[in-house]
Amino acid sequence: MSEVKKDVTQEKNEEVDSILNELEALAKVVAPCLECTTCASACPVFQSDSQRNPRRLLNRLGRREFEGLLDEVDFWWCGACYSCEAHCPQGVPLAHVFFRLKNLAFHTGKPIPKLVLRTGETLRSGFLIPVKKEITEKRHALGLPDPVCPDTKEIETLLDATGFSGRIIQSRKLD
Amino acid sequence: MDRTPTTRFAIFWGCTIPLRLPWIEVAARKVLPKLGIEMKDLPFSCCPDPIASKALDHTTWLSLAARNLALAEEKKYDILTLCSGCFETLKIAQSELQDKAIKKSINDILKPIGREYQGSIRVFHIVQWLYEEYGLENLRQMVTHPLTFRVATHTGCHYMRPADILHTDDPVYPEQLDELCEVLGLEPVDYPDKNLCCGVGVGLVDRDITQELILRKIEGVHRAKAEALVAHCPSCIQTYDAGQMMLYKSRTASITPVPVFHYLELLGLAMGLNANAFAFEEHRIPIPEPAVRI
Amino acid sequence: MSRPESNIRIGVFLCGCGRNIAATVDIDKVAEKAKTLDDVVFVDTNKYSCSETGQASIRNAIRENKLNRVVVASCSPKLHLETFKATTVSAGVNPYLFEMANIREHCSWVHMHEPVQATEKAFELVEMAVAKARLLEPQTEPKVHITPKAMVIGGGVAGIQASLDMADAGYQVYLVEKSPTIGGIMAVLDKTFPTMDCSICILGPKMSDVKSHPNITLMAYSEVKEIKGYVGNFKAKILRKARYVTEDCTACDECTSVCPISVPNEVDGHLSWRKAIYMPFPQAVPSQFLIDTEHCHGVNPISCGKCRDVCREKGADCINYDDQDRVEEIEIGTIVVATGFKPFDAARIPEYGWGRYPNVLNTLEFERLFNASGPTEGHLVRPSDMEQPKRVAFIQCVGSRDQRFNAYCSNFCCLETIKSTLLIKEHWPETEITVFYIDIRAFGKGFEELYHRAREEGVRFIRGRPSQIQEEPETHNLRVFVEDQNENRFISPEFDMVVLSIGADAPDPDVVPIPLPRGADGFLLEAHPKLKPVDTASRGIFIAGGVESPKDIKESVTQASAASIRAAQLMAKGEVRIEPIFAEVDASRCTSCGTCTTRCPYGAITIQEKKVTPAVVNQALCEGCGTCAADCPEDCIRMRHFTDEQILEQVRAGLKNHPENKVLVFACTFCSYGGADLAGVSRMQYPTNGRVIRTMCAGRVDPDFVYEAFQLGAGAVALTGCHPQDCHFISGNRFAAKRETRIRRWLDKQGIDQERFTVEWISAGEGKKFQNMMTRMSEIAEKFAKSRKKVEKPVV
Repeated sequence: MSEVKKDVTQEKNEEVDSILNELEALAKVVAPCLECTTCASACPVFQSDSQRNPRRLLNRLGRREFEGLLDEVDFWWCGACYSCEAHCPQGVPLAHVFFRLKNLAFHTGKPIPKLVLRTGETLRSGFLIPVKKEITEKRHALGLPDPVCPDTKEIETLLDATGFSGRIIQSRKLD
Repeated sequence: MDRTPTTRFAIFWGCTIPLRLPWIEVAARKVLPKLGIEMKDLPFSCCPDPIASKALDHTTWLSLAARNLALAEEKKYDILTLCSGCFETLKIAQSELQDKAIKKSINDILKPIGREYQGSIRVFHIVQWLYEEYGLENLRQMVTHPLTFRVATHTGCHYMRPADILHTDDPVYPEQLDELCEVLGLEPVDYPDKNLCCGVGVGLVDRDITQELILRKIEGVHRAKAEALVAHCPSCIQTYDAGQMMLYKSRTASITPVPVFHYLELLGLAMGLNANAFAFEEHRIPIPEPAVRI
Repeated sequence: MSRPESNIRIGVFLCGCGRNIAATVDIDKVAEKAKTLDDVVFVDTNKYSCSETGQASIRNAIRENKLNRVVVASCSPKLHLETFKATTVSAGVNPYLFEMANIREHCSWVHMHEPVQATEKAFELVEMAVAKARLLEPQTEPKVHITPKAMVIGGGVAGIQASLDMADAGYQVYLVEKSPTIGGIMAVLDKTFPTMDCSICILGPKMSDVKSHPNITLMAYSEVKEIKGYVGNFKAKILRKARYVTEDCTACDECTSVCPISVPNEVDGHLSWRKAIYMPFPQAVPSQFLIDTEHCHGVNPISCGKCRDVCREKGADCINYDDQDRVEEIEIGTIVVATGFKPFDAARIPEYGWGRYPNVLNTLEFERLFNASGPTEGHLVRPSDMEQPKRVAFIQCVGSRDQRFNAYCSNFCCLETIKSTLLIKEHWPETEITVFYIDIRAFGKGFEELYHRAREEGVRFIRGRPSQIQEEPETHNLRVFVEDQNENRFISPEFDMVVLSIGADAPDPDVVPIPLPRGADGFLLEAHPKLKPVDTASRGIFIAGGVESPKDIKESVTQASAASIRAAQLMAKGEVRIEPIFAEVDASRCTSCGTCTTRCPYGAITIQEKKVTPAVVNQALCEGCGTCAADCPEDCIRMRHFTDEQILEQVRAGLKNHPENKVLVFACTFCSYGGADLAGVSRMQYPTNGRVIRTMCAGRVDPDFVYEAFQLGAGAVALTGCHPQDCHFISGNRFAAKRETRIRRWLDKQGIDQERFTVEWISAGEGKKFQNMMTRMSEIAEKFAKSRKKVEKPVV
């Protein structure tokens, strides 16, 4: 099982094998799916909105219907709660596959949801939430010390080194 | 547990607690020392979060996580997290970094900033630590002021899933938080949608769905006649606390809001700490007086 | 080729097995090379050696060429050893002068993309077989008497059928059942599918027949504690548990009205109560009460005594507080194991709420509710408020087809549910019934028709597997969360009652007091999946019913009758030939240290006076595992047909060429060799480095064999055998495991990398495990071979 997950989440070099190879590998990962619907039954997003069905998207992957798959925006609706994986009787790691599809979408310049993009941009400061005057004042009022911040130079160096910063700048917004 | 639990920790606060919900930090700084925990602050960054950041670039996500782990490792501290998201991120990162090839490539990325991760430290979540290391029996002995109201527990998702890496509680029907509440004298109730995700993850693309999920959870709490919701993940707490406020502003139907506690607040009160020791006034949903027995 | 100094004349017969072997292995090439081997005077190839023509050609060749040793290189000996032994006999040669080389399951089928190496390997396997054949000696098979009595363990429908069949054939049968009554699961069901017969009505007469049959001794409320012996000559110790009620009991029921203790009734799935003195159900056989001492105040007049008092008052006096457990010993010739499966425990799936929500039931509880002699006399009511449910849901595949619990399909659950829906509709047609399923498996006779009837009656079938069940706190109604796949939408319909269609769990590990091999799914393993469905690897022991795999009543009865005739065949012959694979002690060299006596689980080797008289082997009891021989400090025990020299010659032959690349594998006949065969049957591919040597048991493998292999330069060595609890020879693998420390110390001294030696437990059902091990060890051997090339060290 962990071997399968390593295939899914192991980051390749920027000189990525063709996207089709990646999708083919992911198709193999979802092969044990019997379309029993337990994942969808457990998915809190699908429970709220029947348009967003995790099983249907991955069945397309399993049938090798790769054309336009990364243009589908449905996989951004995965909230990463892992309920699907925990319930799947065949051990298909759905949430891992969704993460991989999101990664591929980011890498191939597909539109990214606005808030996700903004998170990526804010990451440069070291935190998800910018450290503003209001919060430091609130902390003092509560008797708390200043928040301990990371060395932003380190963070920036890291984000530049992996090419993240460059890609964030290039990414398009999904509205 | 007969063996002595680890108590020397670098505390991983994450982003949400220090920068959005500092009242949780207030509670933690009061309660954790009473459990014998030595708390060290290190210049961690965002873990990085296991939903948005992980969706973008995996190598970047893993590198930032590895840097955080390396920081603690350098100073020879195990990590104690107070956020389920941080817990999940650091544990998954540790698991992936066990692969020699991956560890090497990430360490190559960390080299220019002078960091290296070897893999010698442990990562705990506060609830895990209380349940597995400190133990229910020891906790029971610390309770001098039992609380006696009906409470609805919310364990959330990232505390125990993905189960094959985290190994904490049952992945679909967790009960550890209930047992931790019982020890305080509380009555944890079974309620509809007890194991429902708070929906913060999907809120990045569709806030309507998050609101649906919040509403379902609150309705369930009411139907089981519980007086409060108790959770331990700052993301879930923010979703329910601030989220309820936004919900009631935008809907015409009136639903009695449910106060949301962090477990450490209830633990502190049960251990005899005065209500003034905490920052209850910072909760968005007011804490009603009778619920807080001083 | 023949050698003038030797009178050994070996014939080698290569089989192409159609294309199974010939497609990968160039058998003509192997045949040519085989001609060059010492003492091989005749070589031939056949397309289908096991066929009439093939066997005839072998027979003729043996006669015409005056062969006195025969080697057939073809499939696994586990398949055709007996076939070719018979061929050899028919040609006038002793069957123990015959040896096989497995070039199919261990070669052509697992190296399908490497024909050159496979051919090379096939030749070496032939060479190894020839090496052993050279040293083979003729043996005579002693005959043993078969006791014409059978023991059936388990009194469910399979056990009942087997008992009646064998008893009707004229044999004495002991039927041993753990619970107080026979009948098993079938006795507590309401109706059976597909005919909707009343279950106990059709089983009851059979149960009575068992009780009254002159040839059947019914031992209810009894457990088999020990089984010793061998085919035809088993001795079993049965624990007869005390009932505290004599056979005079007329089941008048007076005692229950005065008993002060109420206990949850397990027969009703804990939905009702029974007293501490009770009869499981009205149709129980034996029709006799018993006292549950776990809950009774105490079987003595001081603690209570009410039941005995009232029994005496009524003039019966059949309650005996002085009853005691006792042990009975019986002698039988054959055993049929029919102990059934375990119903899946739905509490293992907490998100379905069984055990937490009163209106969530499992199949067995539902059957009892429906049963006229159940807790509600057949009225379908909800446990929470005793109201009749208007909306009922069934959830399929609970605990089955699920990697987290049982990966297999449990066979009966689909029809069980369909039957239940029809029963509800029959009595209360206005009830709304919904079945949530993944697939409907209606494979048997009459099954599809029943499925159609259910649909016609208006039962709703929704394709979707629910993720959870939630309870409405006010009403105790249940809400099922599921995707309606057809409609592609999420629904959470409300029901008054939900029935979880639970599957079968594998039998407990200690269900019989002898180790019988199990498949990877935990069920007892049949000797051959197609051709020997009710035999086990142990001669004289058969299996039938749910203990072999989940199945319904008809298939259980079928297997029971099959097992009966298999047992009767042995008993009818009156005697059976025993394989002459025993230990022999060289009395002149024996120092009477007694080590061998501690290795034998059969008590077959004994010493009258330690340090004085030599060890003596009882050939009838010796099963031939070889554990004693491997641990004898004087090396003075010889195993017939698996001598030290025979095995060592195989080692030498296997490592003759490029030993550094080779992985030498010792495999035991019943488990790991079978696992290797399964890998072949399943066409699991792995590198060609392996050379398997078959022994009867892992216990046979003397550390000296391993040392010899490494001293000859073997790249890697694997010692394989059965899983710890499953050794066919009871404890052989345990002693083999103990030798590992000694061997590893020797490896350290020799400077040999520890990873080049491995000990693995592989069952006959674990082909994948064998494949993984071979792949891993081949990599290690290749690594070693490469490193040797660099350093240019001489052979150790």
